[in-house]
Amino acid sequence: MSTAPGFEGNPIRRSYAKPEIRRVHLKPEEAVLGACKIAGKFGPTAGDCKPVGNCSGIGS
Amino acid sequence: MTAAHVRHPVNRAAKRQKPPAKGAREARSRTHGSTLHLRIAGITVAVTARDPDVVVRVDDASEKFLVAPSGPDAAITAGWGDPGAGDPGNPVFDSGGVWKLYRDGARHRFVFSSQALGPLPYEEATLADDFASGEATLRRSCFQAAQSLMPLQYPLDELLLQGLLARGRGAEIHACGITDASGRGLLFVGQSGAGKTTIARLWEGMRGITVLSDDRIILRRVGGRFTMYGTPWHGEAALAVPAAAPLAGVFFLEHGAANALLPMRGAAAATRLFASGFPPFHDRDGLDFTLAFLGDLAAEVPCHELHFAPNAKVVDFVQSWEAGV
Repeated sequence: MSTAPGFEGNPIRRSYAKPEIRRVHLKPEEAVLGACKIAGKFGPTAGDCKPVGNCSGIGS
Repeated sequence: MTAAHVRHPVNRAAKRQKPPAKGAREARSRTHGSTLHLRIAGITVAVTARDPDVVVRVDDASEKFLVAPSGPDAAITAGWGDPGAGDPGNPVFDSGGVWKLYRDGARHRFVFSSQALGPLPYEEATLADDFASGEATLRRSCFQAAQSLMPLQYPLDELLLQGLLARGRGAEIHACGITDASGRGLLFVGQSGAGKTTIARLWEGMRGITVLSDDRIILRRVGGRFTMYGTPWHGEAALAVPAAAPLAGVFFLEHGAANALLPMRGAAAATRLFASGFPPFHDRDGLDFTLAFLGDLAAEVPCHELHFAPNAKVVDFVQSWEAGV
């Protein structure tokens, strides 16, 4: 194991951790602020949406 | 989705039966003519009606964020017209929802359409490259109140703040923000269904506790410290407070059978923040800033994955963590 230039003490040896890929779930329909989120359907253009009522869950 | 679940400009414009809070009335009375000043996370947006006979308004939750006139970070004029008319410019981004973004020379052009309102766009906003100025144009036939204009209705309000934040100011996160009795800020991060509103309701009403928002929090670095701000964009608990607190801890919400904290650091924490954020996917420089900002935050603020059962014990559990910090 190499030490940094000018380092005179004992190097701290870290155990090797193999790099790994971790997947993080992204909900694009939420992230782009473009849609209404209720029961898995998104957006005023989805299915049976009508211009009535007041949605507290839009884009949430 | 059922019909009753759609928040819609027609209905929001017609809604306003409840009188605004006293502070909001005072703030509005201090405005000049038909100009409003809205301050969210320390960022002030002035909205002025182009027609002096038209009054600009904001929704109920945003009224708490109205302030006296001051030098704005962004100045927007608004009026009736024919949104979407002419060549929109080069297509940049399609949200898949109600808005599309075009590039018209050096300006951003957001065009908003809803199938529920017919084939023509109901609003457009042409904004300067730095989001510091712009014009909003709304289609009068889509709105019930002809003398009352709500140009910053969702999602334009958040898109404008998104653009301003991404220019070196901060980031918006899908999170519940709580200020504890000693004034420290706790951020509970999660996408829809993660438990933000559940957490907010468990903490709400406790002595010395303020829930800044149960759904959207803005993060900025102020005086060298990461600070969280309440926003008008609340969740089901309808909690939206124009206040701020230094950020003491970040908790990524996970449902669990029992309460547990798992430390998260570095890229893992920054990635979770990013995935629960509202970054400008259409803006390379803005994305670069947002990633760096969230990376710095993850390096400086303690981050944990919080597995929790939906009962009051999680409040004691988090408070016991605070006591040990």
